Amino acid sequence: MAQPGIENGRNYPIVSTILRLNLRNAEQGSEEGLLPIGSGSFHWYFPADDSVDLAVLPLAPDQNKYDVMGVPLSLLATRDVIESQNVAEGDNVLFSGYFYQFPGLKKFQPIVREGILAMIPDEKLETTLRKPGHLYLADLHVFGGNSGSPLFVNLGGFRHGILSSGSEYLLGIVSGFYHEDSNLNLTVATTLTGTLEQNSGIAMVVPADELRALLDNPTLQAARDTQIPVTAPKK
Amino acid sequence: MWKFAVLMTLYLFKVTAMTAQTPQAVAQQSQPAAPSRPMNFTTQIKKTVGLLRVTFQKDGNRTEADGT
Repeated sequence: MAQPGIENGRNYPIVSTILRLNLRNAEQGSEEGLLPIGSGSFHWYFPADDSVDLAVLPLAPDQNKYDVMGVPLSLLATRDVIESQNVAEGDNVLFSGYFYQFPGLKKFQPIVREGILAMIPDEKLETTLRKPGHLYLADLHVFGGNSGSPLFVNLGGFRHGILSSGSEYLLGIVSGFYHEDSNLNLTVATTLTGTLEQNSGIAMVVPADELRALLDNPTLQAARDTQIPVTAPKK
Repeated sequence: MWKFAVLMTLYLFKVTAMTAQTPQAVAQQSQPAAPSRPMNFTTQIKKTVGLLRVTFQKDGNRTEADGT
């Protein structure tokens, strides 16, 4: 099972976890706080599949206070969407993530980068957890700090020779990249920390199906359900 | 080496976790209504992320790792 504090296959004890978010009141910039992980029932949730490099916290910032948006589950590009929308290599993708060279002084300054979907392999690849698992590859330059970035695929515009009026879907979560050494061998690297090796420009993406499977965890589902106001159907 | 899918998918949860270092939010003053227009997509996706900083004990030293 993937756990926080894993680096290069070794597991290290977590000391603290801090979250920084921008505030809606732009003049106040951003705010950061220590997440009380481990107190009460607040903890990380991990996939059942120990090759999947994902972790989820049951947390939703107050959108009246924080300048954040959620992504509806309906926008996850799960396998059925991939097939129905004919998502394929060459489709445009983009992500937003942390730019560690300039995290932002007054507020968190995420960076946006784009590329194309490079491979939808129908067999397993070695994931960042060094185990065979499902991945997408993107011709996209990611780096340390981009770990966990949402990657969107654009299904609108001129695609595969057809002009379509699609929209963006969440294709998956950025998990790492391949770096190449002086012999041009490609090796898996994580995006959680920066590396000195040459970045090959091929990013590893955990498919939205894996995220959906994790979010469908009964405990997480039940917690979500308690936050949704239930109204009686109109007669 | 692990990923965080914190904000974008779990927006239905209530915030109870962020407790430390939280100054009171200043009430926003009312402003003249601006003409509404669709938000640029890249502007939207920037709002789906935050910075997550994890400190862990590695070889006797505290090491920080940042993720999105």
